[in-house]
Amino acid sequence: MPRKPAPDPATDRQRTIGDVFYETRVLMGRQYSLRRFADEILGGRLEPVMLSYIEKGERFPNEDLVRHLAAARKEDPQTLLAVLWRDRVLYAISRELDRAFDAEPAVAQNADGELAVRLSHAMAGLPDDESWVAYRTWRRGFRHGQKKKRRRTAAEEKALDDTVEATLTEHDLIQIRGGRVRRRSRHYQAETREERQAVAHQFAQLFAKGLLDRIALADSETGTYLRNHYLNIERERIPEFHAALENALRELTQRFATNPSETTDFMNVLATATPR
Amino acid sequence: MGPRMESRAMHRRRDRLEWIAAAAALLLTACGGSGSTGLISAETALLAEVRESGRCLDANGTTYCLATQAESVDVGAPTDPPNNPEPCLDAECPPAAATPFTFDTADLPVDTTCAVAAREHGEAWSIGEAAEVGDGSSAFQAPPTFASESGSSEAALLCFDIPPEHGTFPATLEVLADAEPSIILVAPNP
Repeated sequence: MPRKPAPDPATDRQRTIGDVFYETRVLMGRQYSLRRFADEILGGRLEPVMLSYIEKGERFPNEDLVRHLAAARKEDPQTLLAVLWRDRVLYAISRELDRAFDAEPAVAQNADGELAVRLSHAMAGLPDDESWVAYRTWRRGFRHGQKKKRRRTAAEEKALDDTVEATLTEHDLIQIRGGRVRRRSRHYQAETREERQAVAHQFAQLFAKGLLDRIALADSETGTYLRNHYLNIERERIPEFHAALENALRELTQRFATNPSETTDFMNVLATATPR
Repeated sequence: MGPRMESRAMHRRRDRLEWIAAAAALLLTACGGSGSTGLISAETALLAEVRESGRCLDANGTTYCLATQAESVDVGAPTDPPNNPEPCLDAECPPAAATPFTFDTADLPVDTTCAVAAREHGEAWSIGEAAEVGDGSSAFQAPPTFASESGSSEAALLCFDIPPEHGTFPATLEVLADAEPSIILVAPNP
């Protein structure tokens, strides 16, 4: 049976540099404890406790350490460095976002944008033509293409899925009846503080990934398009421009949307049109 | 049935199965899903939170509170219906008159100056004429559009301890806090 190729860390938005360290150690075998991995693979460059912090995402590794990890994985270090830089950019943006939202610890579960990411997958799992699909199939598809976070239990995953379903129902975006579900609308507008915070984090993740893809991985097949279009526009025509942009993006996404499978990627199109 | 007949029947069945599979594949590929996500403006979110929780919130250098409706509202004498009104079809009938929201300002100091702000969702706020609240019996009315176009408009009362210089208010505002009021009384959804 052919093995499924390992995900490319540079193109896997969910995978942090800490995840890459953890994954590498685990894949090398059970015998590699934190101490042995730090000593033998990373050349004793850090204490086991610091490696533990890095794996949990509580500290960032330095670039020298990431180059050593890339050598152990027999990979181009630039790919892993791009993941590190993206994580650092995201961390800096997220810290400021949390200040702007005056974040409380209670919303930490949503703060990484996971809720917003899952909402997008849930909506994309429903046909644009509003036809019905099986409820159970739809629920399973919430996590399609997403890597399961190892720090989240099955109960926590289900709770997050339930939140996604409840949020979409409250916003009148879906209809569930007799074991089937269909979409009623297509645009999710984050309203409460928690929803807005989750969506803001998702936008930040998307921007950080897109930017770093083009800066650090210009020669890689990242699948990222990044371009700034500009113009002078009469101020009073800005709302008209926004509406036209919305229509164009809606038409484009509906034209290319297909069912998720092994040969598809989940594409996010983050658009901002802002006057200076 | 001879072997040739049998083979032809099998071919037909296979053709039919292939056609069904192709049709099913076409249906499957044609029903992909897409969507979009957006953020409402920070002040709109704030207003929604005030309406939902009923709590006062300090933000943008001012205080947002949920407004209460004045208990005694003099809506004036009802106008007499015209004699022999002509029947109208639903589409032609004028919208039913609704009672505008009336802000209760009894708790505010008498020299507080207030002005009503109203808007259709997503548009700029229009600001009404400012006036002092007086001894508490005065009530500021939200414009009739607020109540008559349910769900598509909203209103708030901007109140100032110290009114702006020359007593002038901007005619429109993108964000209520830009007028720097001391307190904003947010009308609940009509």
